[in-house]
Amino acid sequence: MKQDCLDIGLIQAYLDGEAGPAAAREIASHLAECELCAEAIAAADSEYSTVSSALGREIDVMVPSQRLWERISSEIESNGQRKSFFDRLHAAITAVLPVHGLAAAAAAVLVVFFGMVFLIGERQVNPDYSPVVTSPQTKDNTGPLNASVTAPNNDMLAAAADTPAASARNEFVARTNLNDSQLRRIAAQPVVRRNTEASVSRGETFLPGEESYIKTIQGLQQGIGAQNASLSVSGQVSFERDIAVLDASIRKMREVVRRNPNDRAARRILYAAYQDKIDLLSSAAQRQELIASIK
Amino acid sequence: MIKLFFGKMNRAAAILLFLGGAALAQSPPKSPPPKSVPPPVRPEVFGTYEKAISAVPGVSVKLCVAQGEVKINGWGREEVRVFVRSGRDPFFKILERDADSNKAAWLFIGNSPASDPGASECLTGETIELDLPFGATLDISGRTAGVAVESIRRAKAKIVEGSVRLRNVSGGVTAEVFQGDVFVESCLGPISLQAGAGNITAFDLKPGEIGDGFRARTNSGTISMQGVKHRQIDAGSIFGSVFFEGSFLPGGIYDFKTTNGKVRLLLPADSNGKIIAAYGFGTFQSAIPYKVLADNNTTGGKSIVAQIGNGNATVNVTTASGSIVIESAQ
Repeated sequence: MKQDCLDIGLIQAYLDGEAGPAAAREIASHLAECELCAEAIAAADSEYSTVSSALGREIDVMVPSQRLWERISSEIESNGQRKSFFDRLHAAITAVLPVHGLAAAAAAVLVVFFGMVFLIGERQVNPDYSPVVTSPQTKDNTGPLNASVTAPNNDMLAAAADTPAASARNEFVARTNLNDSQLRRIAAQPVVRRNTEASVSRGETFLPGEESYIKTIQGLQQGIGAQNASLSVSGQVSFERDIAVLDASIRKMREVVRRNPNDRAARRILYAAYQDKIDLLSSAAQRQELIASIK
Repeated sequence: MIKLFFGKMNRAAAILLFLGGAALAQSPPKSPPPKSVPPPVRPEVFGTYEKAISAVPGVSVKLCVAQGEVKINGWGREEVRVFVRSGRDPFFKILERDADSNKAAWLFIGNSPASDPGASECLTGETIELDLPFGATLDISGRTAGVAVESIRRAKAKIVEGSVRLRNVSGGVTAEVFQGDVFVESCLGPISLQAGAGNITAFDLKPGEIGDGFRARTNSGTISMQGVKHRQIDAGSIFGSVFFEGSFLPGGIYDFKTTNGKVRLLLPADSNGKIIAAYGFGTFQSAIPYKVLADNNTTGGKSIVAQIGNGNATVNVTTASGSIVIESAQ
């Protein structure tokens, strides 16, 4: 085993789903590169599957390991310390009112009441208030965004103006002629990281025949999180590992093909990896369809 | 205007507070929390059931299993029999009858809706056994099920979690398991096997007619082929090894693929084939003498075209970072 190889504790934590998201990503990318660790985790995974099938129902009652207990305890403690005024108020109301329904109704009445008072107060402070957002500063579509607008992602956009990416954003605004509300709508949309986006941002061009693979993969990747939610822990680990292996393979072979476009062998491996990724993603979708069909 | 509004608001707030106070006063100060009401218990319908129905020899049977160990056997009767132990009452739904004999030609077997209206329409039982005519075609889908099929004409299985074993199926096999192993033995015809996370083992398989192919795919698992006589073989794994033991047939086209595993071919010493291997960052070695037709040894794009014997079969082997090993069986 190499010096930088994963220790068995880390492998076990990864298989048990106890490694954090960042650690899991690092482990997955390491597995894609290191054959020894890949074999070790395959062996551990196999043992896990054997034990799972042997113990059957008993293992369904998951017993958290010591490491998980520690994390749970620390999370509870930090949550306790972080309790806001409203959390405490909610706790007090629910403690006083015996019926949850009554508590909810009282809370709703309070919220409506304070909301009306706040609105009336706003009108008094700013008589020119209008629900329609109009920002003279953004008429030219290149100026900084109006910080007083209470809209989602406003902070994000305002912060973006201070970052090095602001000039790129301004250039984008100038090029697309979008107004503030349109920009906010775009910013509110969920961000999905895709290989093509990364490629385009780096100014890379598609290799011949590559675009159709990438588009197909993009289509399949939408909703893959929900599809995999029903997978067991070991299933999710396998899926993530397989994706990491394929992504690493695609990345490496892409570089090789880019250096030597006439390398047929590298291209063959690259397209095989793309096809495998499509098969893998399709398989996840088909699995979900099958589960849905078996009521 | 604003003063008037605030005045009204104050009055409304006073009324609300009064109502709230009244509600609190009416309720006991410290009443115990309401006990959660247990969900209504369905009548226990699990039991042992056995049913049979007349069917044509080539009956098509569609079966849905929610949970259970399923055993399906072919037999010499023109009859479909189902036996469920510790499960729900099965029922037959005839989708099509034979015009001449009026026997069932297309049949769905599921859970009886009358016995438990709220339950799944798929069969559930500790053990589910089916006897079908030898010429029957089976289409089974299941959620958590171990499936064993033997001695029928054609089988198609799609299982979310569990293992599938198919033996002595004469007219082709399609098996797809998302988590679990697939084992196929002594079958004829076109074979298509797929495992999401699991191993695939194929043993003693033959084509039923010219053009029948063998295809095996797994994401995380090993594919083992022994005595697979199809002329078109396509086997690939993402995170696992591919093992083939047998001979390359004249005119055959063989594709073996893995991203991060080993491709191992155990061949007779007098084998024939043209090996077209692309192994990127991996390795290639052969214990059988070969003639190099083309060779490229650049990092990441390593490949070789080698001829073994007279080379009248085409063997494509692809791996990104694994190893390709050709071994002699003697």
